[in-house]
Amino acid sequence: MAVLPPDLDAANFARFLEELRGAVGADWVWSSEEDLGPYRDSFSPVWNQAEERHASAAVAPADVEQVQAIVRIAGRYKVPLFPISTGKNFGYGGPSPNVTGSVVLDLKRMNRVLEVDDKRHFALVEPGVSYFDLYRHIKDNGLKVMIDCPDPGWGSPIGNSLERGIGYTMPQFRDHFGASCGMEVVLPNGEVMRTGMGALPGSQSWQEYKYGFGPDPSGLFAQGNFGIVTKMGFRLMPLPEYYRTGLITVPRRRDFVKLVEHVNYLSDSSLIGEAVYGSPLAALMGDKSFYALATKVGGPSDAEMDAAANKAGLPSWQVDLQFFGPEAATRENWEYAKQRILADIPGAKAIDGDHFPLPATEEQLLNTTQPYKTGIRRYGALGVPSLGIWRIVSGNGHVGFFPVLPRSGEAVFEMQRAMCDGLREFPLAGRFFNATTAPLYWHSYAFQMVFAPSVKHDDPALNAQVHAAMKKAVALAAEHGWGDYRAAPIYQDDVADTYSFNNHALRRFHEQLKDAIDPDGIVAPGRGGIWPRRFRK
Amino acid sequence: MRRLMLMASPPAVALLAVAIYGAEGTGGQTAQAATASPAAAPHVVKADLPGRAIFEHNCAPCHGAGPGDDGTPMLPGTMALQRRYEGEVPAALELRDDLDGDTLRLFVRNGIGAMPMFRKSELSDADVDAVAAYLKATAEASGVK
Repeated sequence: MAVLPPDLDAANFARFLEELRGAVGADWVWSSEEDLGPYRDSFSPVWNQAEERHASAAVAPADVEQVQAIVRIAGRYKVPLFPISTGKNFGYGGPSPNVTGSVVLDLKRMNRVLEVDDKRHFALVEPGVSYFDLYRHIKDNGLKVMIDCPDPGWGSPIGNSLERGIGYTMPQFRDHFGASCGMEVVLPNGEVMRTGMGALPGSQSWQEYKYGFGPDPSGLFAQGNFGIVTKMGFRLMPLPEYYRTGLITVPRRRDFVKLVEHVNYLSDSSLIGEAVYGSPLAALMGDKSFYALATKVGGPSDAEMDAAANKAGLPSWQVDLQFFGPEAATRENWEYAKQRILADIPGAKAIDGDHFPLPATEEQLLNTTQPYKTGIRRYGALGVPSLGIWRIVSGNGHVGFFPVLPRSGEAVFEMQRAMCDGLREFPLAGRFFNATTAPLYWHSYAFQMVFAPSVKHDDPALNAQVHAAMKKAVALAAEHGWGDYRAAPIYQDDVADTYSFNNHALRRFHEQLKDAIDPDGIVAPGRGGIWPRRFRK
Repeated sequence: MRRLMLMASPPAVALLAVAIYGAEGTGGQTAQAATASPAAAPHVVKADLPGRAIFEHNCAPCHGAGPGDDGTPMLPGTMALQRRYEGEVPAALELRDDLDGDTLRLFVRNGIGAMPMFRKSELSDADVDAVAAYLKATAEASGVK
């Protein structure tokens, strides 16, 4: 499907492409339908529908100077660019732009690991570096640092962190944008800017003090459209000496409230990595009567759920804990966690898990040595990139809605009930929101839940239902004070609309900034729900 | 007639086990790890060709011959091909001698099922041809007839 950039005719588009070829070489500009196929969002619920967003071309620069040249050419022709790093961004729009006719600025060729320091514990990379690349660089050079890696590992530290992606290790590292430190940005006028200490010529602490002096604009480039990030630093965890796991179970539904409070304490005291919550009762969801109970209108009572747990001989909740550090410290921290929780929650049980020195052996990585069924996925837990998670993808992929909720048991129960009831017209929703749904503890200080129904390219009716469910989920959650943390372009306006305090003061502020530095919308107009004057309706 | 499908979507995963997955993709509800023991990986004699590194960096994390994560017997792409062909052809790409560059390119550029498309910036046409040559040589070295 050939499309043109907004407000540009075919002749000028041809001239524009010719200038791009002059800047980067003819091999690195693509505009045929065949070449643009992989720039579609293959997980899109609007596949082949009018709402699908299409690029008019893609261009892959080799260095910062070429990025600057492309931005200046785009500025002359008023063509929107949509920058992508590397990886897939599936569930969140893939590489598809907000505005049909945008030119995808594909930064894959900028793939240098510029520095990894295992004494001061940081990395500096370009956007085309994947987690696999960074991991291999560290391993090949025998460096004593550990990355925090999302699933799957084909993503890039820069792209993932700019989407505020997450991983699975210690809190200060699994918030990938939070762990970033210093960036280089090409601004919409083509100028190069560095943030933090990078703005001070001669500074050697760009990746050690992110603020520098004065306001720090780094946050504008995450889920935003104020520039194109061409270098970025990340704090890294020193390779821990030892890794240990343990499982806590609690018998009653209401015990979850105390369990969460204890785990919050352990996490905020930097004693544990990601805590993986689950409900053993989820295994009963194949039973029709239990499914009906867990998705009951208004939610089941504690007594009803406890009776079901008793009947099945299962605890109501569990949490996998993970410890990193010196062997003795991991042992003592696990002992402390056990004592703290078991002393406070009657009937709570603890099981010692697998533990070993790092780096892990292949067998340990394969996670076959755990003495109990675990929710931990070992590759992610140890920062080793993998595509193993792809086993869960069905159809042609899925969309993703991840409402953020407070880190409390009561909030979990409320989201279970409200989302289950509110999405009842969509048959699959009960599988995602029910009385056994556990929170995800990916972000450092907040919980999330997930709604990720599958889509199929050849089933537009299913996709339309998924699309409608996503829109309703965003609105429904917002009525309860829960907001999505990340969204595909087709949902970004819906999500941004829900962050509406004081008559959308935040969005109006972003629009003022956008109008000031990029009124023609050269960099990703519409991204994050931020539209420049040219495109505002 | 031999089907030229490289990868099909796996059967619907039980939604209760919609496991966890994170930032790069989507997320899901906490699930318990599979308990099946990894099957013995097939014997692969890797050909010393330029396509080896390209395959190992770009394809093997999903289509390798080794075991999958967390006790699953195969990696996702290999598992999908096992389900698709049910043993008619080897599930591991490194044991396939019937995949030329054009065939690989068809799937690499268009994707299929859960397998996504790959851009030329990620894998050039020359890279795909090099992978095809590596797969054929590796299959032959591994004794595939």
